[in-house]
Amino acid sequence: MLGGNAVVKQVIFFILLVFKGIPFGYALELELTQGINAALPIGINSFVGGEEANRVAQVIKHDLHLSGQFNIIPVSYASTDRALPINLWRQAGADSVLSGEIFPLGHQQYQAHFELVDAAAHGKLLWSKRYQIREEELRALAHHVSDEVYHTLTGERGVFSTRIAYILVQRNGEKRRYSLEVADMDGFHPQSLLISSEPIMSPSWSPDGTKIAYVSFEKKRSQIYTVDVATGQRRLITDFPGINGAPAWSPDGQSMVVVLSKTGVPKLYQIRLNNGAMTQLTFGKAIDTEPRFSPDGQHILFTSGRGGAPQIYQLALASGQISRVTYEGNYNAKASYTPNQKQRVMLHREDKHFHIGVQDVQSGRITALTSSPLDESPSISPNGRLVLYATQQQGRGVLGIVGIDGGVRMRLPSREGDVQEPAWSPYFG
Amino acid sequence: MIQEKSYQIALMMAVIMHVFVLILLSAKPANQTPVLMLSTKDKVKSIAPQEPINAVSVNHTEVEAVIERLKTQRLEQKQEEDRRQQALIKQAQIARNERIKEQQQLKKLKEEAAAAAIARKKEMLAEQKRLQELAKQKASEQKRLAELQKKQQELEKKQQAQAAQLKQQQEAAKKAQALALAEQRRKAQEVAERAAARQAEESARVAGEVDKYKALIIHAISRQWILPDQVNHQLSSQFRIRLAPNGTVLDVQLIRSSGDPILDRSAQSAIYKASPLPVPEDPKAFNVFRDISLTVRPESARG
Repeated sequence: MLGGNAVVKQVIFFILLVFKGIPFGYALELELTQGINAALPIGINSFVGGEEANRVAQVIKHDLHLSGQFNIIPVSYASTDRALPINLWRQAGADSVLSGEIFPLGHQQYQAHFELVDAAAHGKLLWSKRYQIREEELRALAHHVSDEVYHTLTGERGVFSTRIAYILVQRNGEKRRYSLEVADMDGFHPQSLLISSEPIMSPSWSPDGTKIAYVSFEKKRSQIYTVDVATGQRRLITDFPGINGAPAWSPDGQSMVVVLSKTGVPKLYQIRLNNGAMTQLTFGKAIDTEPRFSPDGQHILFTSGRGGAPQIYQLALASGQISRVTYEGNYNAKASYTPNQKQRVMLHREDKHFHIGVQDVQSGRITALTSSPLDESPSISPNGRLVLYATQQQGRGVLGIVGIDGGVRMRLPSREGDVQEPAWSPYFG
Repeated sequence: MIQEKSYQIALMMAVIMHVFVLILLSAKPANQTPVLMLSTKDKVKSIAPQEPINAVSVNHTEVEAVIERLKTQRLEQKQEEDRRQQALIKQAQIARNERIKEQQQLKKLKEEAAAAAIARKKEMLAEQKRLQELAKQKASEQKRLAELQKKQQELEKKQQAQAAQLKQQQEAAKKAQALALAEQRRKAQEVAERAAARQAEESARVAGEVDKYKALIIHAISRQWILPDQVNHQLSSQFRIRLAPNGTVLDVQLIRSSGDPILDRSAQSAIYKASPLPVPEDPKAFNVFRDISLTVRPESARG
């Protein structure tokens, strides 16, 4: 028997040698190095539980669609109240399937249960959770579930529970009404923090999301205030002669960089918030404005006309050195970094029209993200994937969202009046 | 086992005791004479001469009472004598019985001793017989051995003769064989060459198939592989895939994670979604695809 075995082994070895590249003792080796860039296909079952369940499902669908990273597989059946079997979703092309049920418990309390399964891997459970909430929290719960689904499937933190701030301008004949508003990131639940008959400008969230700094003309001159989002309490930051504008928070929340023209020319100044100590950061005769801290707090991007037309420059806070950052286009302004500091988003003009542009930090190349002519005020989401901006639609100021890779384009629901100067909040908690 | 010496002593003692008892028994009747008569005779004679006679008036009743008393005394004495005699007779009887018992026991012992002696004799005889038989067997064994040896020698002789014969034959055959073998080898070589050529063709065909289907499988999975956004191009995962003969993905195992579970899962989904994978129909070629090790590295994306 032994002799026979040895011979068999030799024969196998010979055969395997013939098929080159096969390691002895194991399987055929393959290497895969190319994939596709596509949105993740996800199926969302009709949630069980009537109206509330349906609304929650709609919010989640909208959130995931808004992220630009998901392809919501449409259910081609007539609407059913039951969840579809996994293999049907598979056939329809979904890689994951989300199911949910929401039951009233009485006294305006609800119990909710959600499940996310891997349709490709034959229904393996990816995430599931139970909640008990009040009726008014249903929408927030939907956003939270969107965050969970997003995180499970992309590994990144979702922004569906974050908020946006913006200025709403309502015209009534000659009179104008300006309000500083805060809403959910999908534009719902707007709340006024401040209403004024004089312009309000440049809202900017503090790094912890509790305060918003802004420029107010209520005294018929520009002043910089901060307002506590929860309490509405205000604090005056600067009230110098001339321009007080474009407040920008440092990442540690301890200081702000603002634009003051008290010396005659708009320049950048840093103000410590605890004691009001001020430091002038830029000098010279050119206009410097629209400062923004880098996420690591080491640099400040700003717009400057010192080269002729407005371009983006960067100030290194440690050394005080200033270097130019943009060399493409004839106008670049309002630049800010993505959280990973690999890209900058800015207002960019190539010929005549302004677009939102994305610049690769390493190469310096700028790509246009949007195409309509009046886009402005880009604000990056806290996960660096989406850009909120102001644009015009049918003569009205509206807000748009575009994916940083140009993927999704969406308009937020329009309001009575013009919406402008959006600012995306940081993550909360 | 009766030990003869102690038996003899016991026997002796018993005999002596019996003799003694017999003597006792035979002497006893002399002692049974009533003592009273002799002694009263003597007593009356001795009193008369020595002392003056005191005449005493004798009462009838007293005399009779004395006579009565004497009578009863005598009766009692006689009774006692009788009793004693009875007792002695009883004793003699008991002794006799014992003697008889002893004799019986002696007899028994004798018999047993005799039986034992007989038994031993029998055993000795049996032993002797056995030894004789053994000796006989030994003798016959030796005979047989001798015969065997003889036979063996004869066989050897025969074999030698045969061997010699065989050798002669073999040498003759060898020569013939060598010639035949040469012829055979030449033929076999031809066959082997033809077989090798065929096998090379087959292997090349199979290898060709294998290469072709390797590419098809990679393409099928790649089409389904949605790269995670901003994935790290340096990472790689390794999977083990088992296929059924029709290409159905039976099992996907993550052998080595890239460290990024999203990347791992994206590749795993792609493999499942690409099922059934294209595999060759030829069973020999398919065998290579039963068990696949797939390394995944997100280097690029299709446009």
